[in-house]
Amino acid sequence: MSMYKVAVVGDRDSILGFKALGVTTYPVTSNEEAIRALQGIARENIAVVCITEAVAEQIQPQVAALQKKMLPAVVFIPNNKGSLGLGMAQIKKNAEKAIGADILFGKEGS
Amino acid sequence: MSNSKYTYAVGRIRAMETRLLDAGKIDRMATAHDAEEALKVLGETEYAAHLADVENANYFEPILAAERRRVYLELRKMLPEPDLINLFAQQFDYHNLKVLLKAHHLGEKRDELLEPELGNIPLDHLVVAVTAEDFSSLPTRMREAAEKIKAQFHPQLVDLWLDHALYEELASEAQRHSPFISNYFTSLRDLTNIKTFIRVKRLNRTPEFLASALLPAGELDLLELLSLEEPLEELVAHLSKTRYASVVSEGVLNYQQTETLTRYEKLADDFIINYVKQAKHYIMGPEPVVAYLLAKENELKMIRMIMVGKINQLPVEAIRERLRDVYV
Repeated sequence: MSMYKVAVVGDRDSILGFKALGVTTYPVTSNEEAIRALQGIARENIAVVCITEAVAEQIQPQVAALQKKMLPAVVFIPNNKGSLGLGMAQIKKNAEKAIGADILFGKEGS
Repeated sequence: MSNSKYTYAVGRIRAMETRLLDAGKIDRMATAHDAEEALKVLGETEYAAHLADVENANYFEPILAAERRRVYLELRKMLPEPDLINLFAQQFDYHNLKVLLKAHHLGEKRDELLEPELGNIPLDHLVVAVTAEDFSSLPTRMREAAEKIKAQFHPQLVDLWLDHALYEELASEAQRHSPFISNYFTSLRDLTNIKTFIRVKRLNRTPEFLASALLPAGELDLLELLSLEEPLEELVAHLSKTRYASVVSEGVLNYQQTETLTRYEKLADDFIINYVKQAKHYIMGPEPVVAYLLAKENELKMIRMIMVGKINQLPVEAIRERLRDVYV
């Protein structure tokens, strides 16, 4: 059985450092390139894909489609210019989905 | 060695120097609105010929690679014998060997990282040697390093040992050319070793590791400083009588405040380029040729900094404080 891999998508200067960890990097500069990268990732044996928030925001429909699949798990990461809060929002949503309450940020229900 | 054989080359170099980017052009790039606009400034310079191949400012690297290739080929053509350029081109052989050794070990092909045209050793030749793990046909120092790596592979050792071999080679060969060139390599090595010292200190590695990481035959004796109570203060004091005094005192102070070596690196590069400027007083000899090559490398580095800064929308000030002095 082949090993699952980790991929990261974003602008080159934000994600290049991941290469040193053995992560497959997909540097992109436009929405078209980002969509093509996600299509490639969906076909590959990839279990976790990190996408910079800046890129994810631009191609939300494609990211949402990828999130509906069992694999890969989609994780939002900030880019080198800082966070847009998408990553945290996603964690909150996942926590609510798993246990029915937002235990992370202290607000019930919602 | 007769210097008169460089007369023609020096004449050509003086004309080529006028086409290096001056501080005004560099500043216009740095203050450009975005990456596209910064690239447009290059359209008014000798880089213009390379711009046609690039559609997107995000992929500017081929422009710099093409320019560097052009300069090396041009210099090779105008010099009476290849020795001098071979000296500087060796770094590409060592680079290629590093890439090939690491790729071979990982069982991957990373040909996009290779530099096929600039080295002295044909790339095929290196590929055959690495694939067969038979380094007997390589130059002595390179061969010895490659054989050590074969016996004990580690990605960090690939870099350390090959860099050592390269710098030993450069130090011994530069002496044959001129004191100016050999001094340049000594300064480069010393300034690199100071940086290595600071980084090793930061990583809290042992003096043994430092000993293996320092480039050989530098003028400075840094080894014993590491185990002292306040190594950075000791470093500044230790070097206060050397020509690196101001680079080190300001660079280290800034490192202690900011925890980055950005300032030190700028000061070190400025030190080198200001040393190299002495070549302007040479009427003949290899010095002006070397100075032009180094001024060009300095220019390529600055363009890369500006473009990366523009692509990442850094404020103009953040780019400016990183820019080096220009040669012209």
